[in-house]
Amino acid sequence: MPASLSCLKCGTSLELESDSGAGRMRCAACDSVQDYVLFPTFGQRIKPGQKAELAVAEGEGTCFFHPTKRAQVPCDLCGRFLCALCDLDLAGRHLCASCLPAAQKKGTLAQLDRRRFLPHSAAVSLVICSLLLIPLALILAPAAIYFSIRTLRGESGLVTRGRWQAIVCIVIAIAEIIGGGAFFYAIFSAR
Amino acid sequence: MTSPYRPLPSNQLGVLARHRLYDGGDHVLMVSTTGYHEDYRRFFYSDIQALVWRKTHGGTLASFLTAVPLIASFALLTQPDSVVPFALIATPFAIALVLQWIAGPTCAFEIITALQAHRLPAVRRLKTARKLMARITPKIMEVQAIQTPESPASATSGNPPVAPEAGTEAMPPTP
Repeated sequence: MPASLSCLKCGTSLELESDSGAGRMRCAACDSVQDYVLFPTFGQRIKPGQKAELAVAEGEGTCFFHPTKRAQVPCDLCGRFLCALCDLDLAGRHLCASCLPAAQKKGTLAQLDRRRFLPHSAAVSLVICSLLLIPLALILAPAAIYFSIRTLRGESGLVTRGRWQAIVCIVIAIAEIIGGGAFFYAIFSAR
Repeated sequence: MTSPYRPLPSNQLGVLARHRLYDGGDHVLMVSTTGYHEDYRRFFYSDIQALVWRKTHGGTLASFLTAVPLIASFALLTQPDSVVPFALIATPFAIALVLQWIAGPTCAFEIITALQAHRLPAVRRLKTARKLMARITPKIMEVQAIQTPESPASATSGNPPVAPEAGTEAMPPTP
Protein backbone atom coordinates (compact mmCIF):
# COMPACT_ATOMS: atom_id res chain seq x y z
CA MET A 1 0.00 0.00 0.00
CA PRO A 2 1.54 3.35 -0.94
CA ALA A 3 2.30 5.86 1.81
CA SER A 4 -0.28 8.59 1.85
CA LEU A 5 -1.47 11.62 3.79
CA SER A 6 -4.77 13.44 3.74
CA CYS A 7 -4.97 16.93 2.28
CA LEU A 8 -5.38 19.46 5.10
CA LYS A 9 -7.82 21.49 3.03
CA CYS A 10 -10.11 19.00 1.30
CA GLY A 11 -9.24 15.66 2.91
CA THR A 12 -8.26 13.96 -0.33
CA SER A 13 -5.74 11.16 0.12
CA LEU A 14 -2.39 12.18 -1.34
CA GLU A 15 0.22 9.60 -2.21
CA LEU A 16 3.77 10.43 -1.20
CA GLU A 17 7.00 10.19 -3.13
CA SER A 18 8.78 8.56 -0.25
CA ASP A 19 7.81 7.13 3.14
CA SER A 20 10.54 8.98 5.03
CA GLY A 21 12.02 12.44 5.37
CA ALA A 22 10.48 15.78 4.57
CA GLY A 23 8.83 17.00 1.43
CA ARG A 24 6.12 18.95 -0.24
CA MET A 25 3.01 17.77 -2.00
CA ARG A 26 0.29 19.39 -4.06
CA CYS A 27 -3.30 18.26 -3.83
CA ALA A 28 -4.67 17.43 -7.25
CA ALA A 29 -8.22 18.16 -6.07
CA CYS A 30 -7.89 21.58 -4.43
CA ASP A 31 -4.42 22.59 -5.67
CA SER A 32 -3.19 23.44 -2.16
CA VAL A 33 0.48 22.94 -1.37
CA GLN A 34 1.41 21.23 1.88
CA ASP A 35 4.68 20.46 3.60
CA TYR A 36 5.29 17.39 5.67
CA VAL A 37 7.87 15.67 7.81
CA LEU A 38 7.62 11.91 8.20
CA PHE A 39 9.09 10.09 11.16
CA PRO A 40 10.37 6.50 11.43
CA THR A 41 7.04 5.24 12.78
CA PHE A 42 5.15 6.58 9.77
CA GLY A 43 2.87 3.92 8.32
CA GLN A 44 3.11 1.65 11.36
CA ARG A 45 -0.11 0.35 12.78
CA ILE A 46 -1.06 -0.03 16.43
CA LYS A 47 0.63 -3.07 17.93
CA PRO A 48 -1.80 -5.79 19.02
CA GLY A 49 -2.11 -6.39 22.76
CA GLN A 50 -0.19 -9.18 24.44
CA LYS A 51 -1.82 -12.50 25.17
CA ALA A 52 -1.71 -13.79 28.71
CA GLU A 53 0.23 -17.03 29.21
CA LEU A 54 -1.25 -19.97 31.07
CA ALA A 55 0.35 -20.79 34.43
CA VAL A 56 2.01 -24.17 34.01
CA ALA A 57 4.11 -24.86 37.12
CA GLU A 58 2.71 -25.63 40.57
CA GLY A 59 2.93 -22.62 42.91
CA GLU A 60 3.64 -20.21 40.09
CA GLY A 61 2.34 -16.66 40.65
CA THR A 62 -0.99 -16.20 38.94
CA CYS A 63 -3.03 -13.18 37.97
CA PHE A 64 -5.46 -11.87 40.61
CA PHE A 65 -8.18 -11.49 38.01
CA HIS A 66 -7.37 -14.61 35.95
CA PRO A 67 -6.25 -17.41 38.30
CA THR A 68 -5.19 -19.65 35.43
CA LYS A 69 -2.90 -17.06 33.83
CA ARG A 70 0.73 -16.46 34.70
CA ALA A 71 1.44 -13.22 36.64
CA GLN A 72 3.88 -10.91 34.95
CA VAL A 73 3.98 -7.80 37.06
CA PRO A 74 2.38 -6.44 40.27
CA CYS A 75 0.11 -3.40 40.18
CA ASP A 76 2.10 -0.34 41.26
CA LEU A 77 -0.77 0.94 43.39
CA CYS A 78 -2.46 -2.08 45.00
CA GLY A 79 0.22 -4.76 44.53
CA ARG A 80 -2.08 -7.34 42.97
CA PHE A 81 -0.40 -9.74 40.55
CA LEU A 82 -1.35 -9.07 36.95
CA CYS A 83 -1.11 -11.12 33.79
CA ALA A 84 -0.13 -9.57 30.46
CA LEU A 85 -3.80 -9.02 29.64
CA CYS A 86 -4.58 -7.12 32.87
CA ASP A 87 -1.38 -5.09 32.97
CA LEU A 88 -2.13 -1.49 31.97
CA ASP A 89 1.15 0.20 31.16
CA LEU A 90 0.95 3.92 31.75
CA ALA A 91 4.20 5.73 31.00
CA GLY A 92 6.25 3.03 32.71
CA ARG A 93 3.82 2.42 35.58
CA HIS A 94 1.84 -0.80 35.75
CA LEU A 95 -1.72 -0.56 36.97
CA CYS A 96 -4.65 -2.93 37.25
CA ALA A 97 -8.08 -2.25 35.78
CA SER A 98 -9.55 -1.35 39.16
CA CYS A 99 -6.78 1.05 40.22
CA LEU A 100 -6.75 3.00 36.97
CA PRO A 101 -10.26 4.52 37.27
CA ALA A 102 -9.71 5.09 40.98
CA ALA A 103 -6.47 6.96 40.29
CA GLN A 104 -8.18 8.95 37.57
CA LYS A 105 -11.00 9.89 39.93
CA LYS A 106 -8.62 10.95 42.71
CA GLY A 107 -6.39 12.82 40.28
CA THR A 108 -3.25 11.07 41.54
CA LEU A 109 -1.99 10.35 38.04
CA ALA A 110 -1.31 13.58 36.18
CA GLN A 111 -0.95 11.66 32.90
CA LEU A 112 -4.65 10.81 33.03
CA ASP A 113 -5.87 14.36 33.57
CA ARG A 114 -7.92 15.61 30.65
CA ARG A 115 -9.62 18.57 32.32
CA ARG A 116 -8.95 20.64 35.41
CA PHE A 117 -10.83 23.39 37.16
CA LEU A 118 -8.88 26.61 37.69
CA PRO A 119 -9.98 28.04 41.05
CA HIS A 120 -7.75 31.09 40.69
CA SER A 121 -9.67 32.12 37.53
CA ALA A 122 -12.92 31.93 39.50
CA ALA A 123 -11.30 33.95 42.28
CA VAL A 124 -10.18 36.67 39.86
CA SER A 125 -13.70 36.88 38.38
CA LEU A 126 -15.29 37.11 41.82
CA VAL A 127 -12.88 39.82 42.93
CA ILE A 128 -13.63 41.88 39.80
CA CYS A 129 -17.39 41.36 40.22
CA SER A 130 -17.27 42.46 43.84
CA LEU A 131 -15.26 45.53 42.84
CA LEU A 132 -18.04 46.46 40.43
CA LEU A 133 -20.84 45.51 42.83
CA ILE A 134 -19.64 46.68 46.23
CA PRO A 135 -22.94 45.81 47.99
CA LEU A 136 -22.35 42.17 47.03
CA ALA A 137 -18.74 42.22 48.21
CA LEU A 138 -19.65 40.58 51.52
CA ILE A 139 -20.80 37.50 49.58
CA LEU A 140 -18.45 37.48 46.59
CA ALA A 141 -15.20 38.38 48.34
CA PRO A 142 -15.33 35.43 50.81
CA ALA A 143 -16.04 33.15 47.84
CA ALA A 144 -12.97 34.60 46.12
CA ILE A 145 -10.92 33.90 49.25
CA TYR A 146 -12.25 30.32 49.28
CA PHE A 147 -11.15 29.73 45.67
CA SER A 148 -7.81 31.42 46.32
CA ILE A 149 -7.16 29.12 49.27
CA ARG A 150 -8.02 26.13 47.09
CA THR A 151 -5.38 27.38 44.63
CA LEU A 152 -2.78 27.83 47.35
CA ARG A 153 -3.49 24.31 48.62
CA GLY A 154 -2.37 22.98 45.25
CA GLU A 155 -5.58 22.72 43.29
CA SER A 156 -4.71 24.26 39.95
CA GLY A 157 -4.01 23.45 36.34
CA LEU A 158 -1.16 21.25 35.15
CA VAL A 159 0.66 24.24 33.71
CA THR A 160 -1.18 27.19 35.23
CA ARG A 161 -0.44 27.47 38.93
CA GLY A 162 -2.05 30.83 39.62
CA ARG A 163 -0.46 31.26 43.05
CA TRP A 164 0.33 34.94 42.62
CA GLN A 165 -3.17 35.63 41.36
CA ALA A 166 -4.54 33.80 44.40
CA ILE A 167 -2.44 35.86 46.82
CA VAL A 168 -3.40 39.13 45.12
CA CYS A 169 -7.06 38.03 45.13
CA ILE A 170 -6.95 37.34 48.87
CA VAL A 171 -5.50 40.79 49.57
CA ILE A 172 -8.05 42.55 47.37
CA ALA A 173 -10.93 40.41 48.70
CA ILE A 174 -10.04 41.31 52.29
CA ALA A 175 -10.01 44.98 51.30
CA GLU A 176 -13.39 44.49 49.61
CA ILE A 177 -14.86 42.86 52.69
CA ILE A 178 -13.68 45.82 54.76
CA GLY A 179 -15.04 48.21 52.12
CA GLY A 180 -18.36 46.34 51.93
CA GLY A 181 -18.64 46.37 55.71
CA ALA A 182 -17.93 50.09 55.78
CA PHE A 183 -20.55 50.61 53.07
CA PHE A 184 -23.28 48.86 55.05
CA TYR A 185 -22.15 50.51 58.30
CA ALA A 186 -22.42 53.91 56.60
CA ILE A 187 -25.93 53.09 55.33
CA PHE A 188 -27.25 51.78 58.66
CA SER A 189 -25.60 54.47 60.75
CA ALA A 190 -27.13 57.16 58.52
CA ARG A 191 -30.68 55.89 59.24
CA MET B 1 6.99 22.83 43.14
CA THR B 2 8.32 23.21 39.61
CA SER B 3 6.22 22.13 36.65
CA PRO B 4 7.62 19.33 34.47
CA TYR B 5 6.19 21.11 31.45
CA ARG B 6 8.26 23.49 29.37
CA PRO B 7 6.49 25.94 27.03
CA LEU B 8 6.74 25.32 23.32
CA PRO B 9 6.23 27.96 20.63
CA SER B 10 2.53 28.56 20.12
CA ASN B 11 0.07 31.27 19.12
CA GLN B 12 -1.86 31.59 22.33
CA LEU B 13 -4.63 34.02 21.58
CA GLY B 14 -7.90 32.61 20.34
CA VAL B 15 -11.43 33.90 20.06
CA LEU B 16 -13.10 31.65 22.62
CA ALA B 17 -10.18 29.66 23.98
CA ARG B 18 -6.49 30.08 24.67
CA HIS B 19 -4.34 27.29 23.28
CA ARG B 20 -0.80 26.58 24.38
CA LEU B 21 1.73 23.83 23.78
CA TYR B 22 4.13 22.37 26.32
CA ASP B 23 6.91 19.86 26.23
CA GLY B 24 6.15 17.15 28.77
CA GLY B 25 9.42 15.24 28.38
CA ASP B 26 7.97 12.34 26.42
CA HIS B 27 4.98 14.11 24.92
CA VAL B 28 3.58 17.38 23.62
CA LEU B 29 0.82 18.68 25.86
CA MET B 30 -1.81 20.88 24.26
CA VAL B 31 -3.60 23.02 26.84
CA SER B 32 -6.87 24.71 25.88
CA THR B 33 -8.15 27.17 28.44
CA THR B 34 -11.84 27.99 28.24
CA GLY B 35 -13.42 29.93 31.08
CA TYR B 36 -12.51 28.30 34.37
CA HIS B 37 -11.20 25.03 32.96
CA GLU B 38 -8.13 23.73 31.25
CA ASP B 39 -8.46 20.85 28.79
CA TYR B 40 -5.47 18.68 28.00
CA ARG B 41 -4.48 16.60 25.04
CA ARG B 42 -1.26 14.63 24.86
CA PHE B 43 0.71 13.61 21.80
CA PHE B 44 3.48 11.21 22.74
CA TYR B 45 6.69 11.57 20.74
CA SER B 46 6.69 7.83 20.16
CA ASP B 47 3.23 8.03 18.53
CA ILE B 48 3.77 10.99 16.22
CA GLN B 49 4.14 9.67 12.69
CA ALA B 50 4.10 12.88 10.68
CA LEU B 51 3.69 16.63 10.89
CA VAL B 52 1.83 18.32 8.04
CA TRP B 53 1.23 22.01 7.50
CA ARG B 54 0.04 24.31 4.78
CA LYS B 55 -0.01 28.04 4.30
CA THR B 56 -3.49 29.54 4.63
CA HIS B 57 -4.89 32.87 3.48
CA GLY B 58 -6.24 33.99 6.85
CA GLY B 59 -3.34 36.39 7.41
CA THR B 60 -3.70 37.95 3.97
CA LEU B 61 -7.43 38.42 4.53
CA ALA B 62 -6.83 39.97 7.97
CA SER B 63 -4.22 42.32 6.48
CA PHE B 64 -6.64 43.33 3.75
CA LEU B 65 -9.44 43.95 6.26
CA THR B 66 -7.06 46.09 8.31
CA ALA B 67 -5.61 47.95 5.36
CA VAL B 68 -8.96 48.98 3.86
CA PRO B 69 -10.07 51.18 6.79
CA LEU B 70 -6.51 52.47 7.13
CA ILE B 71 -6.47 53.61 3.51
CA ALA B 72 -10.03 54.92 3.81
CA SER B 73 -9.03 57.02 6.80
CA PHE B 74 -6.65 58.98 4.56
CA ALA B 75 -9.77 60.57 3.10
CA LEU B 76 -10.07 62.48 6.38
CA LEU B 77 -6.90 64.37 5.57
CA THR B 78 -8.72 66.20 2.79
CA GLN B 79 -10.77 67.98 5.46
CA PRO B 80 -9.29 70.93 7.39
CA ASP B 81 -8.14 70.31 11.00
CA SER B 82 -8.49 66.59 10.60
CA VAL B 83 -5.02 65.43 11.63
CA VAL B 84 -6.09 64.43 15.15
CA PRO B 85 -9.18 62.43 14.07
CA PHE B 86 -7.09 60.82 11.34
CA ALA B 87 -4.43 59.82 13.85
CA LEU B 88 -7.06 58.43 16.25
CA ILE B 89 -8.65 56.30 13.56
CA ALA B 90 -5.57 55.30 11.59
CA THR B 91 -3.20 54.46 14.44
CA PRO B 92 -4.98 51.29 15.69
CA PHE B 93 -5.29 49.95 12.15
CA ALA B 94 -1.67 50.81 11.38
CA ILE B 95 -0.51 49.03 14.54
CA ALA B 96 -2.67 46.00 13.70
CA LEU B 97 -1.25 45.94 10.17
CA VAL B 98 2.33 46.11 11.43
CA LEU B 99 1.66 43.35 13.98
CA GLN B 100 0.07 41.25 11.26
CA TRP B 101 3.11 41.79 9.06
CA ILE B 102 5.49 40.88 11.89
CA ALA B 103 3.53 37.72 12.74
CA GLY B 104 3.88 36.54 9.16
CA PRO B 105 1.69 34.22 7.08
CA THR B 106 -0.88 31.97 8.70
CA CYS B 107 -0.94 28.20 8.44
CA ALA B 108 -2.85 25.05 9.38
CA PHE B 109 -0.80 22.49 11.25
CA GLU B 110 -1.61 18.85 11.94
CA ILE B 111 -0.05 16.10 13.99
CA ILE B 112 -0.55 12.66 12.47
CA THR B 113 -0.55 9.54 14.64
CA ALA B 114 -1.53 5.97 13.85
CA LEU B 115 -5.09 6.67 14.97
CA GLN B 116 -5.81 10.29 14.22
CA ALA B 117 -4.87 13.48 12.46
CA HIS B 118 -5.25 16.32 14.93
CA ARG B 119 -5.15 19.97 13.95
CA LEU B 120 -3.29 22.18 16.40
CA PRO B 121 -5.14 25.45 16.92
CA ALA B 122 -2.11 26.65 18.88
CA VAL B 123 -0.06 26.82 15.69
CA ARG B 124 -1.51 29.42 13.38
CA ARG B 125 1.59 31.10 11.97
CA LEU B 126 4.30 29.63 9.76
CA LYS B 127 6.96 31.21 11.95
CA THR B 128 5.54 29.44 14.99
CA ALA B 129 5.28 26.17 13.06
CA ARG B 130 8.95 26.37 12.11
CA LYS B 131 10.00 27.14 15.68
CA LEU B 132 7.87 24.28 16.98
CA MET B 133 9.31 21.88 14.41
CA ALA B 134 12.83 22.88 15.40
CA ARG B 135 12.01 22.06 19.02
CA ILE B 136 10.11 18.80 18.72
CA THR B 137 11.58 17.13 15.63
CA PRO B 138 14.88 16.18 17.33
CA LYS B 139 12.97 14.77 20.31
CA ILE B 140 10.66 12.70 18.12
CA MET B 141 13.62 11.37 16.16
CA GLU B 142 15.48 10.59 19.36
CA VAL B 143 12.55 8.67 20.84
CA GLN B 144 11.71 6.82 17.64
CA ALA B 145 15.32 5.97 16.84
CA ILE B 146 15.37 3.50 19.72
CA GLN B 147 12.12 1.85 18.62
CA THR B 148 12.35 -1.14 16.33
CA PRO B 149 10.96 -0.07 12.98
CA GLU B 150 8.45 -2.34 11.34
CA SER B 151 8.27 -2.80 7.61
CA PRO B 152 7.24 0.58 6.29
CA ALA B 153 4.61 1.03 3.66
CA SER B 154 5.93 0.78 0.14
CA ALA B 155 6.27 4.06 -1.63
CA THR B 156 4.87 4.81 -5.03
CA SER B 157 4.69 8.13 -6.69
CA GLY B 158 1.24 9.63 -7.00
CA ASN B 159 1.78 13.33 -6.54
CA PRO B 160 4.83 14.90 -8.09
CA PRO B 161 7.02 16.95 -5.74
CA VAL B 162 6.57 20.68 -5.95
CA ALA B 163 9.39 23.18 -5.95
CA PRO B 164 9.46 25.06 -2.64
CA GLU B 165 8.21 28.63 -2.67
CA ALA B 166 10.49 31.33 -1.38
CA GLY B 167 10.36 31.57 2.38
CA THR B 168 8.29 28.41 2.89
CA GLU B 169 10.93 25.71 2.57
CA ALA B 170 10.10 22.38 4.12
CA MET B 171 12.09 21.68 7.23
CA PRO B 172 14.01 18.40 7.12
CA PRO B 173 13.97 16.30 10.27
CA THR B 174 17.07 16.49 12.39
CA PRO B 175 18.64 13.07 12.76
